Amino acid sequence: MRLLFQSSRRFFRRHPGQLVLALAGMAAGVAVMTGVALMRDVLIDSLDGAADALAGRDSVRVTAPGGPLDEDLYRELALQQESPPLTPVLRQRVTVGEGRLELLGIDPFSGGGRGLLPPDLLARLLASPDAAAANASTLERLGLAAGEELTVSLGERTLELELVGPLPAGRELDDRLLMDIAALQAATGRQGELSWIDAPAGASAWLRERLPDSLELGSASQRRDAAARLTQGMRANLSAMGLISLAVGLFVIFSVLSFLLVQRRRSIAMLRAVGVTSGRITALLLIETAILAGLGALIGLALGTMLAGGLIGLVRVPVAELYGLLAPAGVQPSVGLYAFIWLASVATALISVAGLLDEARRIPPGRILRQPPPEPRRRRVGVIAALLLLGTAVVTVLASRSLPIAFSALFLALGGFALLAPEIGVRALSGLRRIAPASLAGRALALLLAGQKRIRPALAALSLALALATGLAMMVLGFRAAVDDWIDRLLRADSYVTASQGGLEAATVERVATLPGIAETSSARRVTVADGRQLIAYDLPSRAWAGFEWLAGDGPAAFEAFRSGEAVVVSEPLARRDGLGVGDDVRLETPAGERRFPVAAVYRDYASERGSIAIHAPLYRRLYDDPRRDSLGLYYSEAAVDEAALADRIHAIDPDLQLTGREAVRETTLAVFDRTFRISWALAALVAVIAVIALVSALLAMGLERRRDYATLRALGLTRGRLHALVVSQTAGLALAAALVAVPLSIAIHLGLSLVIQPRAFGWSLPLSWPLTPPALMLPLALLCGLLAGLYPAWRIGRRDPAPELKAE
Amino acid sequence: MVENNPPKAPALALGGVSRRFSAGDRIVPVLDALDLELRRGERVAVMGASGSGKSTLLNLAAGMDRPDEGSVAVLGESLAAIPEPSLTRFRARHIGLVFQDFNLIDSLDVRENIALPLWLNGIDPGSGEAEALAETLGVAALLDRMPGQLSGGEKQRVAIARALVHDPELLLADEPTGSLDEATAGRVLALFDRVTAERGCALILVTHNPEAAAVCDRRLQLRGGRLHEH
Repeated sequence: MRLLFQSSRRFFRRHPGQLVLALAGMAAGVAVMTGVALMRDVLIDSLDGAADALAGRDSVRVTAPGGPLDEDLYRELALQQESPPLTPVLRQRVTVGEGRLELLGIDPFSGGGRGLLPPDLLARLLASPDAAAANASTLERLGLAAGEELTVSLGERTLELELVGPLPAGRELDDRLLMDIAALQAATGRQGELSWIDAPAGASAWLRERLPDSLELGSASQRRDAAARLTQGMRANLSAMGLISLAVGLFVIFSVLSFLLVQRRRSIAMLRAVGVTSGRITALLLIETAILAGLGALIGLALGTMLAGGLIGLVRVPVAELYGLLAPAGVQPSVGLYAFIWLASVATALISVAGLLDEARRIPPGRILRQPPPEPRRRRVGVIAALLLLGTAVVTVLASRSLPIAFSALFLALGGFALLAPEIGVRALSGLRRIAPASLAGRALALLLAGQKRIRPALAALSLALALATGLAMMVLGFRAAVDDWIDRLLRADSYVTASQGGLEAATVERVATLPGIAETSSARRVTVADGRQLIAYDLPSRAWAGFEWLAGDGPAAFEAFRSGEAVVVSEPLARRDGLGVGDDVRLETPAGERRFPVAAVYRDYASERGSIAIHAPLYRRLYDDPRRDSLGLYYSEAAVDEAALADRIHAIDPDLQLTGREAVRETTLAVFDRTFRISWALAALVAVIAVIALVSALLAMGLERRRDYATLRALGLTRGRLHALVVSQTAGLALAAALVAVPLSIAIHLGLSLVIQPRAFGWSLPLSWPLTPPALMLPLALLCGLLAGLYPAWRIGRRDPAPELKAE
Repeated sequence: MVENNPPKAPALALGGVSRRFSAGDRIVPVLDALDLELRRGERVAVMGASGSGKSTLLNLAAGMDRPDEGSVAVLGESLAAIPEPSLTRFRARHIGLVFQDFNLIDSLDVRENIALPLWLNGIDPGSGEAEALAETLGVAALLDRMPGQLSGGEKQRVAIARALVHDPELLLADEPTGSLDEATAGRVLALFDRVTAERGCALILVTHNPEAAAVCDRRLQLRGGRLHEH
C-alpha cells in the first residue's frame, strides 16, 4: 500500500486545482452546517444571558405575569431573616440605530450585583447617574471606547449614556449595559419597578413559602425551555437549511471525486494489470476520500465558526423584535458539536461516493474504459426509489402534525426529487438539443449528454439548489403578501397612540378619546398570563371587528358573544397548538380564581407564534383589575385631520405618548418581516454558491473525460473560439435544464413550506398564493449563472493543444 | 487568402524543419532540419521506429504543432503566417486526418461523425456525400449506430470516411490499416489510390506495414530526425 499512497500523493501534488476544488466543496457544505448549528445554540442561550451573569446558570427568578414587580416586594424579602442573596433587576430595552441593547439596572451591593463590578468601575457607576458599564466586545461592536458617550433610543425619547468599562464579563453580557438600578429607574421613569428578582437555585423553597400566589417563581431550565420553545420554529427552519447546504456540498464532493477517478482511470487500470487487487484500489480510494473529506470538514468547521458570527448578526435583530430575546453576539463552540459535525460529514461523504468506489473497483486490468455502458436497470431502480420516497413523504405528512416528522417528510421528498431530477434533467437537455440538433449548441448538448453520468450529480445539485432558493423565495413573498393583507385588514384606525413606558392609564385614554377630530377609539392590552399564554384585551368598535379574518366560527355571532363577555376568540397558532376549536373551553387563571370561556371563533394572526386569547376589554379589566392599555386606535371624525396638531395635543396630555399613522405602522410591521427573513435569503444564497461550485466541478470532470473528443474537434477544424462557445453552450444548457426541472420543484417546495412546514413550525396557515416572480427570474439568472460558470472550464479545455490529447493510448 | 493559392504549389512543403521537446532537464531533438515536398496527388509512405517522430511530422503538417525552426507550407500557404483561428479553419477546409486511435466522437452516430467536417465547413450534410463514402467503405449499414457499437475495423473505416468527406487536398493518415483485416485494409488502400488519383489529393501514410507502404509513390524512412529514401 505504501507505493499506492505515494502514487496518490504525487497525483495530488501534480493536480493542486482538483485538490482545492474537493476541499472547497466539502468545506463549503460543512461551513454552512456548522454556522447554523452554532447559531441555533446562540438562540437557545439568548434568553438567559443576564441571569447567567448576575446569578449563575442555575438561578431561579421571581416575575409578575403581565407586568413589572413592585420594588417593595424586594425590600420585604431582603429584610427578612435568613434571606438568600437576592438580585433585583430592572431591564430596559433600547435601540441604537437598527441594533438592540438591554440596559440592566442592578443593585451593586446586593446578591449577584455584588462583586460583579471592579472597584474602579463601581465608583464611576455610582458617581454618575448616566454611567453604563459594557464588556469589551460590546464596546468594540459599538465602535466606542470607555469614557465616550452613547445615545440610545427609548421609543421617541433618547438617553445619553456615559460608557464605562470594559467590564470583565463574557458573552453573556454582550450588548447588555449595566447601570445602577436607581439611576435607570429615574432615567426611564420607572421608579418603584423591577423586571425580576434573581436568586440562587437553593433559595427556591424559601421564596416559594413567602411569595404571593400572583407571582411566579421560574427555574433556569424553565427559562431555557421557554427560549427553546419560543425560537423552535426559527431554529427548525435554520437546521433544515443547514442540512440542505451539506447535501449540496456532498454533491460537490461526489462530482470532484468522480473527476479525480476519471483522471486516474488509466493509472488504476495499469495498477490492476500489474496485480493490484480491486480491494486494494477500493481501500486506497476510501482512505483518500476520508482524508479529503476530513480535511475539508476541518476547514469547514473553521469557516463555519466565522460564518456563524455573520449569521448571528442577521438574526439578532429579528430575534429581539419577535421574541424579545437578546442573543449573544459571539458563538460558544463545543468540542462535542465539532466532533459530531466532523464525523457525520466524513461518514456522509464516504457513503455518497460508494457508487464511485464500486465503479473504480470494476475498472478492468490494463484497459481504459472509454464510456461506461448505460445502466437502464439501475436508473429504473432509482426512479422507483424516488417515487417510493415521494409517496412515503406524502403519507407521513398526512398522518402526522408533528414538525420533526414534517421535516423528515420534506427531506424524504427532497431525496426523491434528487433521484428524479437527473432523469428529468437529461430529458430536458435532450429536448433542448432537439430544438437545433445541427447547430453548435445542439452538438454541444449532444456531447454533454454523452457524458451524462458526470452531469447527473450536478443536475441534481443544481436543480435542488435552484428549486430551494426559488421555493423559499416564493414562500417568503407569499407570506409577505399574506402579512401585508393581514395587517392592512387589521389596521382599521387612522392612527395609533402608544406610550414609551408602561402603557396608557385609563385617565389618559379618556382625555385622548375626547380630543377634537376623534370619532371613536379602539384599544388593546397585551399581557402574558400565569400559564404563559398571551391575553389580549380588545375594546373594538364594529368597524375594527371587520378587520379580523375568521378561520373558524361565525363572525357576527362571535362578535356578539365576545362583546357580551360570554366568549373569547383565539388566534390560529393557539388553536393549532392547544387543539382548540369553536365551542371548546379556554381556562383562564385570574386573581379571582379560574374562569372558563367558550371559544367563539378562531382568527388569522401572524403577530405571535405563541398564540393569543382575545378577550373583551371590560371583562379583562374586571377580572384582572388592570385598567391600562398598550395602544389606542384613533378613528377620525373627518377625513383631513391635521396629524401634526393632533400629535402636539397628545404630547400635551403626556409627553411620553407617541402618535403613529396607519401607514407607518404597516411599514414598520413589514420591515420587521423583511429583517426576519434576511437569514433565509442569506442561507439560500450560500446554497446557490455551493451549487455553482458543483456545476463548475461537474463540468471540469466532464471536460476532462471528453478531452479527446474536444481535441478531435479542434484537430478537425473547430476553432478555439467555437470550442469556447461549445463549452459555454453546455454549461448554459445544463443550467437551463436544471432550471426547467427546478420550476415545478420550486412550486412543490413553496407549497410544502407554506402549507405543511409553516403551520407546524409557527402555527399559522398561509393563504395559497402563486408569486411567479421568483421562477420567472430564476430561469434567466440560471442561464446567466451557467454562462459564467462555463468560462473557466472553457478556458481550461480551450487552452489545451489537441495533438498530445490525440496520441494513441 | 487560402483560396487564391498558386495552382502549381506543392500540397506540402517542409523546409529545414526542426522540432525539439524537453524531457526533464534534457532537450530531445525529434526532427532535425527535415525537408519534404509532396506534390498534389502524390502518395508518400513514412515509416520509422516508435518514437522516431512520425506523429510529430503529421502534427506539424496539420498545423497542430509549430516547428522550432524551418517552414511548413500547405498548398503554398506558410502555416507560420496564418493566425490560430484561421489556421484551424484552413485545416478544416483543406486537410483530412485519420488518427491511429480513430477518435470518433462517442456522442455522435456514424452518420454525424462522418458529416462532422461538412458541419465545420458550413456545408449542408444532407448532400449525400457522407452516405456515398459510407457505401464505398462498407459501413452504410452502420450509419445510425453509435461508435460504442462498432468493432475496431468499423471505427477505422468511419474515421477514414470522415477524413475524406470534405474532399481535402492533403490527407494525413496515421496507421489507417492497423486495425483492419487484410481484405478491408486492401479496400481502404484502394480507396486512397482512387481518391488521390481522381481528386488530386496528396497523402502521407504513416505505417509500419510494408504492403500498405507499397501502394505509395515514395517510401521514406524517418531516422535521426530526417527522412531517408527507403
